[in-house]
Amino acid sequence: MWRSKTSSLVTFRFGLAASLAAGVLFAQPAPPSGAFRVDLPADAPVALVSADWGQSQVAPRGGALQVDLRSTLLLKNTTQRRIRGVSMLVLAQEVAAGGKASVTVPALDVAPGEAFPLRVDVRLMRPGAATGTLVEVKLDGVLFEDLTFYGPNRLNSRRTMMAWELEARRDRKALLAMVERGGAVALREEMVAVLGRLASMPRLDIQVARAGRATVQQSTPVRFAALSMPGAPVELTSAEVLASGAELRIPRIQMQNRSTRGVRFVEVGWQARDHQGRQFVAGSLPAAVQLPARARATVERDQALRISVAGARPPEFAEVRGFIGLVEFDDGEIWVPMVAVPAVTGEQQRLAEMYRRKGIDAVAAELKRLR
Amino acid sequence: MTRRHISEMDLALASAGDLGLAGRLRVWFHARRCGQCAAALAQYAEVSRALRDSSGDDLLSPGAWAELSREMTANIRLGLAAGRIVDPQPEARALTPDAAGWRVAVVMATLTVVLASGWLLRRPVPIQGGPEMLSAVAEASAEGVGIHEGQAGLMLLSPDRESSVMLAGTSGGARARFIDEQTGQVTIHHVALED
Repeated sequence: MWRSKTSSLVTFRFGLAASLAAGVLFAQPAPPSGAFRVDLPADAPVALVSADWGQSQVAPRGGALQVDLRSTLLLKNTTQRRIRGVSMLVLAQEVAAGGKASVTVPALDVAPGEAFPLRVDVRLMRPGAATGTLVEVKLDGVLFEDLTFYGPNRLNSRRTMMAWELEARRDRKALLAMVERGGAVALREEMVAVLGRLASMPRLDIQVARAGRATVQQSTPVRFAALSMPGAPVELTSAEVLASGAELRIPRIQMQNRSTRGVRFVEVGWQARDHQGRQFVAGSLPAAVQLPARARATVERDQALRISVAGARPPEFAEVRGFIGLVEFDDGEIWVPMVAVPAVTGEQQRLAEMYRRKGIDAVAAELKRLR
Repeated sequence: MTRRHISEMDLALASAGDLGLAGRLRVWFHARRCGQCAAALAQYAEVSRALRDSSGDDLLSPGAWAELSREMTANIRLGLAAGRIVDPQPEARALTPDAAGWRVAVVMATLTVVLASGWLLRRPVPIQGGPEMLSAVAEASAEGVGIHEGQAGLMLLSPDRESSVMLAGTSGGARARFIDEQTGQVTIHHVALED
């Protein structure tokens, strides 16, 4: 019995020592202090109340270092106007020269003096040690209820948030009309249909290579169809689309300004279909253009888009459909389509998720509140 | 047109039964069509028979072997000279019993390489190379949206629980829109390779 007790004690001590050693060896150290910085101008309409990045960590990955910075920023509206959207620019040193990232939170309704959270989760891969400020978060823009904008707009967040707001108002107006015609039943049916479309959409992984750097081998032309958007100030006239397996290139798109106003930016949305009949809402082609009234322009973008579908064979594209998704005139005014074109818009998705979490009454109340 | 003949060496070996099966068949088929080679083969056969019919003891002496060697060498040289008169480029002929087999093997290998090369060149091949070959890449996946170049990269991570729609901009950027399942807040992550 004495021998059994002793061996048990030895085993326990050994196990404890091994556990401690493992903890020391495999513990993920925290990033150095000052690795993450939030920089807001003094006159910004939002102020930083707190920034919590307690879950951040650093880990070696091969010859590089992986830094995970997980933070919840608590921001406060310091103006007398309601805020509809906020966009933060995320910058990292030594990553893809010229590359930028942003976190945008549209669909807000923040009252004066009210605080709201904004989550920033960033993974940084870099060779060498993690020293100094690794990630800097700056304010890129704030959109107010009256559609005025504040901020440097380095990643065109004004356009993004304004387009979101205009499309959201359009979609809510259409849903309200549906409620007036068919009541809550019609609204519920629409929410269920949206959730169904969301569930049926394939989960995509997408890669985009920088212009001119992709090595393109044999490509085959893909049929392109331009969707006519009623009231669109710009019309798509033709496009060249090339496919090579699961890769797509749209090197050339031609368009014409049908309006009497100059256009400085066009976003062409496009959907793809493969030979198996699967539909992909694969992306958009933003393009800064100089398009005077009634003029034509050709946008050339020779970059490769590689698409893979989670858990399925890579697509082989049969057709691409393009449509004008957004137009920005020279004076800054934004045009969006009068009808929703993608399978599920952002506002539809938001309201459908609200229906799933809180029920149809919450959705109806939201529609009336934001009328 | 100059007819290609069997080499004198092969004729002599065939007449003595010292040629391999493939060689003997080749000589036999050719001799059926070529009177000159048939005559030469018969002559060598006659010499071989004469040698076999002569006294065995004398053949075994060193002097007899030497004389036999000289006679055979003379006959071979006579045959080669006669062959050169008929075919000015006897060097082009195969000199080894298995030459035909090697030739066939080389031809088949060449054809295989040509056919395989043609198929490989015509087969459509997608763009090769991941991040280590492309200088900068933007990507959108279930994990998040990011940009990377070589060993350096930045990714905006998707939340653990979300309902998302993936978007991609072909101007060298990627975008993802998702909704927090708990708060219902909409977030758009966007990365761009260029201004």
